[in-house]
Amino acid sequence: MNQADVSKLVSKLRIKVPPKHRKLSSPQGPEGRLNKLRKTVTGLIKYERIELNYRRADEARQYAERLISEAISHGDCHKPTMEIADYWLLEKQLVHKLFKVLVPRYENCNTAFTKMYKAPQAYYGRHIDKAVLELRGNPYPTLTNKQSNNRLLLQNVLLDAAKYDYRQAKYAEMAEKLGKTEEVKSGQSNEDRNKPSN
Amino acid sequence: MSLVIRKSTVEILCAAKWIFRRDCRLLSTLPEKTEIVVDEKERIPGRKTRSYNPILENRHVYPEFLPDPNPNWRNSLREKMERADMLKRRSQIDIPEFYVGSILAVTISDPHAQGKTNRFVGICIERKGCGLRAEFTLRNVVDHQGIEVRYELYDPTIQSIQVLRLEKRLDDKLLYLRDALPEYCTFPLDMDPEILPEGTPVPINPVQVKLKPRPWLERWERQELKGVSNIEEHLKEKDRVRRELRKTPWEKYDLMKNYRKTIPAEEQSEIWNEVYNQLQQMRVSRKKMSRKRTVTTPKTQLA
Amino acid sequence: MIPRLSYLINVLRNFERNIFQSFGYPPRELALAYIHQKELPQQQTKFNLKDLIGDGILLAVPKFRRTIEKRWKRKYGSPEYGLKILLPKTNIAVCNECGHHHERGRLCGNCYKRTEIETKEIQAKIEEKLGNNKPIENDVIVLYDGENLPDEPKEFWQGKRIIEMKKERPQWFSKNLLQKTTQQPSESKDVKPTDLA
Repeated sequence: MNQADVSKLVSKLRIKVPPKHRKLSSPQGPEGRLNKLRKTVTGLIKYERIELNYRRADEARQYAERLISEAISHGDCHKPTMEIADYWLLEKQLVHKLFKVLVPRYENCNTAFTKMYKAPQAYYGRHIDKAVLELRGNPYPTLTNKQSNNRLLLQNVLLDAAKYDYRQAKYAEMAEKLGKTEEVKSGQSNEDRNKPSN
Repeated sequence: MSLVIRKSTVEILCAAKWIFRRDCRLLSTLPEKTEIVVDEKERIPGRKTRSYNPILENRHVYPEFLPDPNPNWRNSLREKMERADMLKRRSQIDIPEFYVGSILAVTISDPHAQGKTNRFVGICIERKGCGLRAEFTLRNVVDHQGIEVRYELYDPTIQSIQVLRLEKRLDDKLLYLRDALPEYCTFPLDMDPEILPEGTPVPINPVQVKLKPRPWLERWERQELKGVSNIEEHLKEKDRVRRELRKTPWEKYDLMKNYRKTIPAEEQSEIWNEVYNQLQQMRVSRKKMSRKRTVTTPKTQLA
Repeated sequence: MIPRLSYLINVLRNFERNIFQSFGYPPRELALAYIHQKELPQQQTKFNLKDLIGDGILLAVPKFRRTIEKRWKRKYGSPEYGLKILLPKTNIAVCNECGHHHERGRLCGNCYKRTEIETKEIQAKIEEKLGNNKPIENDVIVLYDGENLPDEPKEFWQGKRIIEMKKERPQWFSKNLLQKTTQQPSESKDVKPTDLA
């Protein structure tokens, strides 16, 4: 039973946050864990796409999202935010990047600011999960497949039209058949009706 | 040594003027209407800062309405039902706004006491828990014996909670008062309520408490306490060295740790939107009732 | 009786001493040179295994017998201990783009390699051209051989960090991605034939 801390306001993160943090053990203990994550977050903001182990990527993703959301909600001139950015970004030119480039990029964004993909295994037998962590809106080629069922591609447009025509022709045929059978049936039923009268 | 001060009749009459003036502080710091305020001056053109919602100020007054931040113990249905129950209880009894450091008087129903009620006056040293299990602890020194009583805010056996002095202190929890000189915790049991004029912000008492010599119940020197004045006198060199080694300056930059301790603003505003109207209505009706009470002449009890 | 005995012994001693003193002490050659002391057999302690092995007697040792079920699980495999049976992998999918196989939920190895190489090139170019000293205030725009900047007044592009890659645009890197999310999408409905992907 804990009472929520009311001294600070935080913005909700748009990624899945597990209830407990990962230890990421290091000789310096908890301080070492934060140092590792600092380096990762700095690298992510500098290069905008990095490949690393899955566990570290997941932790760094949470911290990067938090950093960017703090920067967006509080802005440039808020002293505590500047201190946090100063701590987390080891290269000081990236503080400028965070506030001048990333904040305008993600201000009106409704989704998460980062994307994480699971990378293929380095070589068979090595079971360390690798991940690729990137910021949205980076200038590099995308990692996901482009729309493979793009209806607007010329081939798909022509094929769709052809399928449609074929279907229409089939319906017309079926309608004709039905019409013929109805005529035949109605003719038969008329004869039946006429017969008993006779 | 103890501060047992009996108020003279003059002082009582002076206090009474506030009642007759009708603008006593029965309302809290919350605004009457909630308006989403965007400061035009501070806005830098081209950048959209998150507009600050004043409804979020409720989190200071009613912190127990926010659920437990641990996601393993969250259950939205249970929380909704709890909030409904909390509002029902609040409609029965007035649970006033108070903070850690305010002096309260609580009367509970006790089957074994004379008159079936039991009244205790003390300073609130901590507030914990969320939902219907929200608790607060009152501390007082009675007959040179320190006494702490923990009450649940929504306990149905509580008959009344009265705020005698509404103020905040420099720290979130005043557990160090257990190791402080008794004069800082003694309050007269028949203390009169100190009424603040309406609309004043909650005063912050900057008192710095003196601690008794060691041994202490906790290592107060390792906690960053602002309300204690003489910790350094009681420390040895060894303690100072160990304190330096034990410090964790990186914790305040640990963004996820802070996130996991709080409820995000979006969820909070949902909760307050749900609950705010009823609370506001209750506050307004209580204010009206109290005004009516002050205006009407006391009715004689004789038939 | 004992005091009398000691008295008698004392008398004899005195007598001996008197004789020696009067007639002289016997010659030294007759003195004893060696006294043979019979070694008593010491009480040998019992043979103690603890002394031999020391605390080793308390080292890791099975406390309980392994049940047959546990033994079977270790021998023939189980989900808890580790399956020894070969199971087919059902999570292999075929990549739509290149046709190589990859695990479902992961990126396709072939596609990723290609993207990785291109990304690394761009990153190297960024590092090389736009140094590490100046504060970063703008997005990076990547242009390939023979490409022009999108239609915007020249002032818009001043200060923007433009990287010119000295190669042709790869087929799979679509040009439409050049449009930034912060820019409003263009309202023109006609698509020029040359700009088709």
